[in-house]
Amino acid sequence: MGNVETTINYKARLARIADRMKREGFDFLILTSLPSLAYAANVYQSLAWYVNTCAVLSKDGMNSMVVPYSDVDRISLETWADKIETWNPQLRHLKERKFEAVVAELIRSEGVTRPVIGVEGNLTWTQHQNLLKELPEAEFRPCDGMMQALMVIKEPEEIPLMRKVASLCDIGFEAALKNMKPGMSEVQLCGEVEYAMRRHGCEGYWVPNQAGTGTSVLLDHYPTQAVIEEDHIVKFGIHPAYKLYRGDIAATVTLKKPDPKFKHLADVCTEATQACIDVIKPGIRSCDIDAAFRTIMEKHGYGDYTGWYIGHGIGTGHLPPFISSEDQTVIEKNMVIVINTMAVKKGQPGVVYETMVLVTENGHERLNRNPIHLVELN
Amino acid sequence: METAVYRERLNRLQAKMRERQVGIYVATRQATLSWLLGSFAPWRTAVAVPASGDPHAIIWRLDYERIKSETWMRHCRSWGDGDTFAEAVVDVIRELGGERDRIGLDLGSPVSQQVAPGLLLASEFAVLNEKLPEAHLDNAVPWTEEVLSIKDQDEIARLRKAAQIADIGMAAAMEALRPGVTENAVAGEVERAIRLAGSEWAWSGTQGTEVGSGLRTGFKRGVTQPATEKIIRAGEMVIVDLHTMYRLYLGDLAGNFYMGKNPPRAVAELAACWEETVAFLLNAMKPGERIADLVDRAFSIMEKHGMAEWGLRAFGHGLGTCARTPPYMVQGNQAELKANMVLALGTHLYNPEVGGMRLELPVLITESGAEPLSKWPSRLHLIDC
Repeated sequence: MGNVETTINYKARLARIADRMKREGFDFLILTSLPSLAYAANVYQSLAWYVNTCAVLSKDGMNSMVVPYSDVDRISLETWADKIETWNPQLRHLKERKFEAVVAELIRSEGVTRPVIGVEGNLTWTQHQNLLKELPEAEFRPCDGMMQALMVIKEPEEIPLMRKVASLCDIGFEAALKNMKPGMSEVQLCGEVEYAMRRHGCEGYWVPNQAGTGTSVLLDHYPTQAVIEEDHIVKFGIHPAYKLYRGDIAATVTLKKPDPKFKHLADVCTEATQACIDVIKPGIRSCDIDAAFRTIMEKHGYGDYTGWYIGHGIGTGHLPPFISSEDQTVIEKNMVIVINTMAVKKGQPGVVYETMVLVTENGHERLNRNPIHLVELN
Repeated sequence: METAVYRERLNRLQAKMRERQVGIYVATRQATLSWLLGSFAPWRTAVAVPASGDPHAIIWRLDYERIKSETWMRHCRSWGDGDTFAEAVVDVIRELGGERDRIGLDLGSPVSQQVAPGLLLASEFAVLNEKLPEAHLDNAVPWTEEVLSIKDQDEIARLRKAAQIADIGMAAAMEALRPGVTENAVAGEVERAIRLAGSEWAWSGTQGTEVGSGLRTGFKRGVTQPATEKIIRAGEMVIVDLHTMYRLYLGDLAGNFYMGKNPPRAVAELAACWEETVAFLLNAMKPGERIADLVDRAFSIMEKHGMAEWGLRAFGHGLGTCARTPPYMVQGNQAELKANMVLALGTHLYNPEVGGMRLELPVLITESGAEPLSKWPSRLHLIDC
């Protein structure tokens, strides 16, 4: 603890969190989400998918974790938390220590009366009830918005990590293109993508990789035993993790020459996607990016082929801004945005494009080299 | 045929609901969602099951068309067009006439402190509680676990296939293990092999396949080693823990390796203790055996070897559409094993100064004993290098 190998200036980061807590009136935070645990504690542990784990921070600098008894040695090597407490079930020589009771003990030890505690939206009902029982005098408030506001702007040390995970996405894309052929199943295609990325340092997948084959395109398509055929369109999504940072791209490939109508749709979506990327710079609003895309799609009569949003932020997890016609978020330097456009209508050939973009001082930089056009395999 | 399988499951669930006077059960956790839907649902999804009649699926709008095309359910609706997930659930409960019913929710296991993926969130519960003031909201996890823990023949066939794929993955890991290779590269070989064999997802709470080498195998009590860029060297122990999914059913298999033909005495002693414990469990498990007794007897073998300090008094968990399911092979669990339960049998020994060994082995409880669904030999495998 405290000697963890990291390029992140975590002391400055923790100070920023504490400062923000003071401004927003939080005495403590109980952080349980995948992005926040990575950001505040340098730990991969998705509470929603695994076991009770949290970071407990105070506005006065307490920087602790509560982790399972069975995972403390690994986490000790990975986290920069100053203190780790463990919970455990009843064991023969060890009295039961409930997760929420240990969290409460940590908070009470700071001696704050009627503390205001920030909790995140992935807290289950059971955990929330247990915390209410353990800390009846506390006031619990959501802190998701505050944490997300911190995480959306990347620190200088985070940028190389985002570049690396973006490069893993490209490696996965190139492996998909190299290996894709009729007769291969969706799961096999994902296997080639994952194999290639692992060989270049990918440490896992923050959400499942996707592959969908057919004569039309579904938005979310988790790989099945379905087989790619000669007249198919294949849409795939790639989601590597590297040192707690997440990558996110998608591409659409056609195995047969597209008919003129489909080609036109794909080309218009490319033009619209490029247009919305072109407008990205500090100072514009999220809805301006959306408008740049939607205007071109609508001009060509494809307004009803689009989705409700065309992208999101990314970092240690899925983050705001959620780019839509209603989102007024002002784009700032060092945001990393995933532009995720689509031209899809049920039962028809369609395309989905997705690529990562860094907001720079005066504009933007694409972090990926994956194409934002329909790829014709042959 | 597929629909008939799911109809039969539904009938079993609804019989249990009527027995417990539950009007509507709202499934949100992975275990019951996959079991009921027959489709992979990684985003917020629910199935509202009335005590009689057809279930209704509630699906996030970006995933709606896919799940609708894959599920056997006729009643599907999306959420996210101006309503939240919890509001959509409330609407469906009202459509089903359940405003005054006992509503079963996935709130949490009273036995396990582990978090099952998909449990109802505090914010979602608050919406249900506010908008359904006359309903009685209740925890459905204990009684749904009873239904899910006994597998039918279709489920056993899928679990068997998931275990076979896991064996292929472990063989690929063994083939890839050589000095100089990274943990991540071994994970890549595993993931490619299991995908080629039909695995749909390298499920895990640890981002995918676990590969730990050297002293990373020996974190005390340490059941988790996500693969890293660490280079594997001669003379090290290696744990590979891989996770397959076949038609929504999970495989969970760990393999143990030593990088060399002649492990040192401390490693050999660790392996001897571990292998004896595993052999005991495979021999002793059968219907009617009390889990607490099995756990105590297995742990006593570790004590006999003087290795209690390095062992976990936990020997596995259930396996099906999720791994956070009973039977929980933990100390004090008074439940008995029953025929057609399937579990990932576990045995954990972790000595920080020597290394660790882990068993994750899919096992079917038969009428007369325990049948490993994976054929991977439960021993320390020596890599010639």
